[in-house]
Amino acid sequence: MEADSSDAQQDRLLVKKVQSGDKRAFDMLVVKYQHRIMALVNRYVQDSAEIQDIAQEVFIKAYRALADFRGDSAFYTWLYRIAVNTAKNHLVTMGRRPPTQDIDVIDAEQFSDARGLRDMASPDRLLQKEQLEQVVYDAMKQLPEELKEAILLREIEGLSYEQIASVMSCPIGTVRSRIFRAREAIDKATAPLLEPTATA
Amino acid sequence: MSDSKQPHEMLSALLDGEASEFEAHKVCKMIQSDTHLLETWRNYQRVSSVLNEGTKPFAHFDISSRVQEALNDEPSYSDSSGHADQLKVKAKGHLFQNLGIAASVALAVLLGVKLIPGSSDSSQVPTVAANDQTLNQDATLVSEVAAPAAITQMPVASNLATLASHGSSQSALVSQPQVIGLDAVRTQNRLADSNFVTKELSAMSAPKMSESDRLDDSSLSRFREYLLQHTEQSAMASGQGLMPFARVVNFGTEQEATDAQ
Repeated sequence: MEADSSDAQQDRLLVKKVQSGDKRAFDMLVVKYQHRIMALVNRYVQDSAEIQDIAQEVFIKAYRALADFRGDSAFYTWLYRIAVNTAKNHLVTMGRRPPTQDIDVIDAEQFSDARGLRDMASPDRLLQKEQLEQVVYDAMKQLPEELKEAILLREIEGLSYEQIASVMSCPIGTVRSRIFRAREAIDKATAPLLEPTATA
Repeated sequence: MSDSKQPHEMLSALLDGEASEFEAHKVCKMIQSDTHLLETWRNYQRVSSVLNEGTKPFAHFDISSRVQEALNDEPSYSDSSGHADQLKVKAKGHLFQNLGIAASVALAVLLGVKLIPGSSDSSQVPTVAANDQTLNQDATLVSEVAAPAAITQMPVASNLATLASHGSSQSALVSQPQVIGLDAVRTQNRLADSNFVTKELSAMSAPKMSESDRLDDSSLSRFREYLLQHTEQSAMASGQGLMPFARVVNFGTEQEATDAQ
């Protein structure tokens, strides 16, 4: 997908920023990939607290090893390998047997279920989770049709701006603007829920 | 579009991998000083995770602040910081480590070659030398066997001269001793008195054979002792010599048992 290659290019740019001493750029990478890494780790570990611990370790390892990252592969592919190894090592340390078959990096991106996730979070946090999802879906429903279509094509279908522009028969700049406006509207709706950052 | 919305739109485009390089650089620079922008980035990502089935169960988790805290003590990647120096030292360490491993392997191989019996040059040289000596001896024997005329010509010639006096019928043959080879000698032996020639030849060769082959009891026991020591050492050096060693050790008893029977 075109968006993927440009996404990888932008990751590379963020990595270069980190390598030149910009720690905030690494924060951006953590925010961008934390949920994907947690979903990947969930293939090996089901406890939500363990998943978060492993994910944290993955990012710390990634930061320490970032000097060795030469950009031969996409940043996420590199991060994915660290995550798989860290999850496996965690299982070995805990005296559990890691799975013999690895998860393909593409499969890890495309699965659609949380494998037996045991969320031991407090009821408040579970409520917050449900509320967040509800607010996002409600905000989506209230969006103007062209904004809703643009954000769905991007987030659900994973199309690039160029492909969306082709589907919606409008300039790329318009697609970019519509997606941004949709996000702003959803962000405004979810802001009261997310005021204090939900941490583990 | 207002100025405050422009960075957010660039952030949205960056999230989708659609921002230009200039915009990406600009947003990264702005986000360093504007924590609100990072918060917006976080919210956009969270909404994106909610809309994606795979990441939806984890959308309400946020470990970024935990990671940030954990990395506070880590040196940042910059040329002037100690991180780069640490990495250089680490790389040098790896180089020396690799060289050390290579040297150890080479030493182990050399020691292995030296110590493994039968595989070292030093152990082979005497063997070869001994073999050479044996070969030389064998070569002498071979030359003695292959060219018996050279050895036998002179004594045979002299013996044949003696032989000539025994029978006049053989005098014609005896008159040309210088061209006598082994076949000729055999032919002559067939023609001449075979017993006499055999006696003469055995008289010439028998003392040599008896001196080298005949061993007295003390020499024989010494020889057996050497053989036993050699076989024992071979058996200790490698498992390959165990069976021959057992046979050598049992040889005396087997012999005695055979003799007793």
